[in-house]
Amino acid sequence: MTDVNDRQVDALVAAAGGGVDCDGLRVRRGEDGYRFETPDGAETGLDEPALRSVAAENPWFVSNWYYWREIDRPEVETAFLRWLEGADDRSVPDRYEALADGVEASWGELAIEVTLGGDGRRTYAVRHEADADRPVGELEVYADPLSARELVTYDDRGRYRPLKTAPTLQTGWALVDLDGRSLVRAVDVVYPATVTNWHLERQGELDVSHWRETMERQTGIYGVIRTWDRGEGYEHVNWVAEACCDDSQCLKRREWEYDDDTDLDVDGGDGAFPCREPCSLVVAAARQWTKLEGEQPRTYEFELTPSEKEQVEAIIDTVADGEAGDIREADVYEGANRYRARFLRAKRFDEDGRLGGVSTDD
Amino acid sequence: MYVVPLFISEGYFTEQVIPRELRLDDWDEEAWDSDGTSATHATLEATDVGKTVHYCGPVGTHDAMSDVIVRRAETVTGDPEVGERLDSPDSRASRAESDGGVGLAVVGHGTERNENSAKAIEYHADRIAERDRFEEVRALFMDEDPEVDDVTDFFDSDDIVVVPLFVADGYHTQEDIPEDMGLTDDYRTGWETPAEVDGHDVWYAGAVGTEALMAEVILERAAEAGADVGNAVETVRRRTRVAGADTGTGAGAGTGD
Repeated sequence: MTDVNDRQVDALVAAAGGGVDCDGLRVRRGEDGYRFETPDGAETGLDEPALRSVAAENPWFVSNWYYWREIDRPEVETAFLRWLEGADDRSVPDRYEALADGVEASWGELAIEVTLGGDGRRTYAVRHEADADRPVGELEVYADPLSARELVTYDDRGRYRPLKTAPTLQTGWALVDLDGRSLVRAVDVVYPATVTNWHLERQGELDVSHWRETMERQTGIYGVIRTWDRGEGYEHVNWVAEACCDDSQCLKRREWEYDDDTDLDVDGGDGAFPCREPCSLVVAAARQWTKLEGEQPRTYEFELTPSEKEQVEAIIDTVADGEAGDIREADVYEGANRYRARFLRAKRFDEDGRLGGVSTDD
Repeated sequence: MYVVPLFISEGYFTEQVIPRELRLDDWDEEAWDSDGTSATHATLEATDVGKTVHYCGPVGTHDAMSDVIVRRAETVTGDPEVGERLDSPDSRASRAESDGGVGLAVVGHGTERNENSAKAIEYHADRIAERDRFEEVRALFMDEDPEVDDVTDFFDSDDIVVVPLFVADGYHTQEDIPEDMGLTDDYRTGWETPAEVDGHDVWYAGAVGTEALMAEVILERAAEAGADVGNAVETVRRRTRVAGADTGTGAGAGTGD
């Protein structure tokens, strides 16, 4: 099989009348015959057999044009697939040489590999980035993009994943031999709507809904959240964003702010794909915080040794960073070690579980 | 665009939250012109994205849902003719069948806050009862009477198939209801299928929404709103048929009433 097939050349001849312009390849039919141009030079005054012959001598340019212009796919898919292989940044010869070895792209925790099949067709493979260097033979291999549905429900520890863009994607699998359509479907199963929102953002059309407007349209049990905004600043929303939207918690890059005029002070993250509004997990958590934050602070008096104070801080840090399960029983020098926490409880709690024997309410 | 809410009944979410989130500015509850279970679709403009949205009624109130409930009863008993009368010409002996017949309980969440919640459950229970296939058919609820806790009080049949009309398995269908019905003392230890309760064999199906035939209901909703779904309905019926069922008419999917 040649690198450029007859169907592609037929298509090129047919398209030349309307003009072809793709990644440096320009072909058109003029009064004096066809003109075939690449960054390496132009040939003019070609009759059809000559055009076919020149096209056959430039299989990369022709098959590249065919792949991007003659395969029917939605604009968003084209944009994403082209971005994966850096089509707007690298010349066709550069790219084809790279694709021969495989081009790697990253999307959340996904490592996506693009390789070149026959006649310029791209083949895509996806796996967890942590598995990027593992041989495929060690992984559970799938070819149906919808099988990704089985992979996204639970994390590696078997716990349900309520947030699909949390950095807790399970490892040990690979989706292989995907065409462009199947790849985009697989990505959409793993990270729903991220490709679409990324594309909208690139076109300057992402419709961001900020905190205020999102909370103001909540109803039912979530309607209470709007009372948390008291016109006294937005520090509470900084805390929400720091708690929920940090890259360690969610791979989306937060683009929503307090309102149109007021940016939050917390960094939105470095994710490839944007977050366009406070998600339902943020809303559900905010409802709880709205209730809790209605309380007034008060002064309690406890006695702690300096090390105990630091231990309380260590426990909060460890839980907040999701690392409590990583501290082993033998790690007694860690404040959040189970024996250390049990010792603190034995020493400082009374029989009713009250810290320092101090009542919460009186 | 065709939007099919994967919800069981008409109520707060389908009538307020989803239209609001889709920015269907001209929506109001009258647009469905529904008696509580009869919404088909309404056509509206989503002004923020400039799209025409055909907003369909929830899957749970579609007639085809009755077929999914029956199908669920078939899959949980492993018997494509569960409930069919012994005297019907092509019936076969089956595991779930005995002299006492087979009863079907359709279980809904129920809520005193919106009468439509119960209506959807009763609607399907009535439709299935009219088919005269199961010895007894009852609509039961978690949060209102008649309550699922007392399931065996409502049936004379030896075998009772319990199908919760829920979209997904979760707390209610996998923890609450099995314990309330007495299938198990602790959901974490699981339960038998069938489980013996008060001298009855109770076949607990789990959420009907996980039944493969649900795909048909979604397609039917979209098709009735004008979507071109090609031969997808046929494909779903073919692919989801219960092994051992007669080819062709199967569980009566989409046929009859």
